[in-house]
Amino acid sequence: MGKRALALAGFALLLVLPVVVVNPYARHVVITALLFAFAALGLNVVFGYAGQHAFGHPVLFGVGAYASAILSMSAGWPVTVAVLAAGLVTTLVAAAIGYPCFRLRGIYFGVATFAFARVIYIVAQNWIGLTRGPMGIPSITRLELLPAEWGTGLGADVQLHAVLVALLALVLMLLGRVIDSPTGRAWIAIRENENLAASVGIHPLRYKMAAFAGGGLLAGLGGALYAHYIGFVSPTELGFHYIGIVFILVIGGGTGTLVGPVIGALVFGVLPEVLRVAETARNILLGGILLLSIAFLPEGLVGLWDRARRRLRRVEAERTAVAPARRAADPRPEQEVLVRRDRSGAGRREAILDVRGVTKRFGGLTVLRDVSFTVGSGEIVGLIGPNGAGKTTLFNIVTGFLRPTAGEVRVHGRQATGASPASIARMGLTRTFQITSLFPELSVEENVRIATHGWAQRSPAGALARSRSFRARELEIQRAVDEALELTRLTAERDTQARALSYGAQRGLEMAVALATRSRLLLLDEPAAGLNLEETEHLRELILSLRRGGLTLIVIEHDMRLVMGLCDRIVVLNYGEKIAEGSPQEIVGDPQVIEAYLGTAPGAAHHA
Amino acid sequence: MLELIDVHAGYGRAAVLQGVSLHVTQGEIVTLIGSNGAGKSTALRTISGLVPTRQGQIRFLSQAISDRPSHAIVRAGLAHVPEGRRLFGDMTVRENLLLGGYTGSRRESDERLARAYAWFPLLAERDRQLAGSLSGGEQQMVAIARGLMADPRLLLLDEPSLGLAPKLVAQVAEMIRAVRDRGVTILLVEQNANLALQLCDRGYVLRVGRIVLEGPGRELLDDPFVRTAYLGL
Amino acid sequence: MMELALQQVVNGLMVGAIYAVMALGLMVILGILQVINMAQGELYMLGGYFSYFAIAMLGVDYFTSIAVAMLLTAAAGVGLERIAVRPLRGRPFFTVFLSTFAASMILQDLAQILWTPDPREIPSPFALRPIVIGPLFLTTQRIFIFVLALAIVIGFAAFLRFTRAGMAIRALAKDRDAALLMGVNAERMHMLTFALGSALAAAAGALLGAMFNVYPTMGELPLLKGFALVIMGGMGSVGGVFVSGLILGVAEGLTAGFFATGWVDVVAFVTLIVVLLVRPEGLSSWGRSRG
Repeated sequence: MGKRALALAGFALLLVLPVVVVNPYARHVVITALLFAFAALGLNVVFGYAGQHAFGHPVLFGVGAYASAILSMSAGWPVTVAVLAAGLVTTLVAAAIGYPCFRLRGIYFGVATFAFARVIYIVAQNWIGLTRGPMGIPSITRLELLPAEWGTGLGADVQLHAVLVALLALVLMLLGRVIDSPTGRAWIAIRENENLAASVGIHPLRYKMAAFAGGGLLAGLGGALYAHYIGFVSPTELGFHYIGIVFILVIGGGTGTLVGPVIGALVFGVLPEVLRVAETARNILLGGILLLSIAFLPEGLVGLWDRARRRLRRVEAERTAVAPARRAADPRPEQEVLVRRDRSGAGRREAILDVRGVTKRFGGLTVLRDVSFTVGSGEIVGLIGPNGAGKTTLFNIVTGFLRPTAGEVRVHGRQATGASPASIARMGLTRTFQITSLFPELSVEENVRIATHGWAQRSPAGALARSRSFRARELEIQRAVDEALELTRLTAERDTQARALSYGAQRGLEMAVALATRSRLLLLDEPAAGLNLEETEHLRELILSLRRGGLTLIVIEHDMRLVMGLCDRIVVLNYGEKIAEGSPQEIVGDPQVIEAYLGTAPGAAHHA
Repeated sequence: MLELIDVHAGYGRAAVLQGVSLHVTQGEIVTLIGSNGAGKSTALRTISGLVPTRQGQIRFLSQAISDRPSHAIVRAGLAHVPEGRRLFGDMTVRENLLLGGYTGSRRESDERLARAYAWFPLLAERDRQLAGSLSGGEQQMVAIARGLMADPRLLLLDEPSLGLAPKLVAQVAEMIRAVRDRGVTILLVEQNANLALQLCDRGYVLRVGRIVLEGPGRELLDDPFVRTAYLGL
Repeated sequence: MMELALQQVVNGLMVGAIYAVMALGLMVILGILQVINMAQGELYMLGGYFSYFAIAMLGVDYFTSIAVAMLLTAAAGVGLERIAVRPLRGRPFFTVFLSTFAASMILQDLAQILWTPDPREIPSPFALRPIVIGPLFLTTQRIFIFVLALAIVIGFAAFLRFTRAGMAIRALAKDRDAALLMGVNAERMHMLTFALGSALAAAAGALLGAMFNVYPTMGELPLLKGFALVIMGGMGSVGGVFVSGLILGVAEGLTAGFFATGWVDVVAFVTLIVVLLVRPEGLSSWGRSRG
């Protein structure tokens, strides 16, 4: 049964739940759970999809509740308007909190968001003029979703239930569209490997902010609705306790899945009541759920379902054991979508990369000293030198991961010195990393698809509306992904998780990712490290065919045979300085180069 | 004294050592050289237990140490001076050395410290100085002395010449010889092949995780094939 | 006006010293094990309860009860490490965080069930009559608590600096691989670190609990403020954390005196936000080594 059909069935069941659940208190519990689902959905966007540990984020549910209460009670706004406005206010608050916090790394980010949440709580308790203090705001205008004249004969709570279910279904559909678009892919990329995401053209801060604020919108709307349902709001909704609960709903349901938060909210929101757990023991139950989840079900309830399905599928596959047809590894010599042949004939002399006088100091240590060279269109240039010579540092500077102390870098003639990695990627320059850098939990295909971000149709409006231009671009992306997989012989493994691949295949995947960016200039950092002879040979062929397709490549390598057979020119670094530049034959015979590699023995005669 | 039999090891998915076999007998200085990425440091880290052995065996003094934790290996008499020296920069020279003697009792540590200062008088002068404030050459001295504080039978040295000016490299070589003369066997990993081959009794050349060449130091020094293999040609 | 300020400052110093003790417990666990121990507040709470029960049931005097509380809570901390932290070695830090968070929720409820939410009062062994120095009212109890907190901090710093175990712990925090190569037994040190961190939390709980009351949720705020102090004072700096604690205590005292008591808690968090914005990397003299 397809996922979509299953979801629709689930929602249908949910819709008619009040038929079975007649007890008013039980219905109340369900509605509360549905409202909390909004908070969980909001947290899931920033925490589950974008992977940001925003400990304080759930406070935005309470912020929405207060905002709507204040707007409708003190300012006298009609309920619907107040709710929508509260959503907007919460989004703004989220942006205001998120922006300073995202400057922080690691746990400091989470701690800062939490500190903000605490401050909001304390403000609500003490700014009596605005929030009526610890007593909260009572007698909030109730939610009237359908005008009384429509008189469907259903009770108010049933109406509310139905509207909430419909609303959740709508939200999930729209959220699903956003997730399955460059925006959602960017979030996931940032979660899995932020550096790699930046190097394929995703600006991390922009997308983190979007996730934080967007999640805030959802939480705020939920909170606003909650305020008008319960009719009362107090600082408790902004408290530590609620933050923990929302996290458990997301984690227990399935972090980073679409329906996980809703399922988590329903199951764990209702569970304490179903089990008739005493008020004082609720925390033990929730804590226990959390521990069980960590120990046995890190992917939550949705993960449990997935696991069961996979097992069923495996059993079936074994019964109908058919060897999957293997396509012959046949790299197409011309690339159609990925690399447009350089038809402009702009000539090989055009300098794609211009490095001038680059110097880098770390404190008192000079790692690079006045390094200059240019790379022309269509060249394959090798960058070699002993350990610690500064090769990777140079790459980091050229690709924006480090700022040079002095000197400049120009890409396609444009100033690139000190630009962010994502901006440089958008200029048409992509790199691979010395240590295998992938999106480990994602499939091979997803890895490659993310890399198309730079030229994808990124506007969320297009994604939400599924406009024609959006769909056309997505098709083009699919073709590019297929092509990249074929070139790197990964087509058969497209659904395999990246971290389950063999080492050689992982290296191939890194190449596929770099190719999918459609960059004209590729910087490869030790692409042959750890590859066996056959794989190295394939790498060589791949690089040559890429050059035929119009790409320019710079390669750091230690495998000298590969470098000799591949590069037009070689630049040699030692102790941060360029000591030689020339054709492979010139370099191999250069005594300075030989000495640099083999080292000077104390007192020994130098080899001439 | 030390024996590696078909050892495989690596980080994550990467297989760095792909079947390394070598041995070190008492009183020798044995060196392991190779180009970058060949796996030299990984080899030492696998021996000292920082990196788990995936396949194969490592035996030290007839005991299997392949799956023992680092602290047990140190107590068995094998010390590792890591790459980049890894001194505790904001602790004094004395504190660094005393930490090196962690496996001994208080009294043993004090005895070994006195002995270290006798062997390296320069360090006695720098006793209370912060390790991070010393020069490169002095730091290397502290690192080696710290390794000796564990009273090892076998000392693993990882690229002692790294980052040192050529003048200091000669001093380090002298230090290493002196250590051997005091009865400590040495397994030396170096990128500076010339230095290493001049210093050692026997050498192994590592390439992409496998031993491709071995022999007495003098012979390897003159062997043109070393240059080829070493440069990866 | 001035007297009020001075009085609040003096009160604040005492509270601040105790915050610092709490923070040091968090710091050592975070620095050595890279674990954010969300259950530290509950260990603090256990310290308070153990002290109370030691006096009420075993009849020991106040000072002994603190020692008893520290010992028992250290054992509890070791148990916590075994159950909630060690099995998760190798998993991402957030998973361990969640695990200790779950432990905290469970412990809180257990305390509520076993001991009811009613606050307990630890009987004070001191005379209640205040000592008057100029405009200031000091009780013997407050002086003693401050002195004891100071002594604990100094003792802890001395332990780290001068004992072999302390050196081993510091080495592990600065450079894990190098420490392992010195022969440091990481597992044993982890246990010791948790025991230390728990004992510190317990001391804070027993001390502050004697001033105010002991109740199941008493650990929530000190936990959060403790973290704030670790970040503000600098990971690895006992002196920095202590001074930050004093400053926080004084700031809170002045806020309570001149504004309303309700706003007191804001001080810690606003200060934390400001510190983080000014120094996004936080302050740290302990390195993170991911060997």
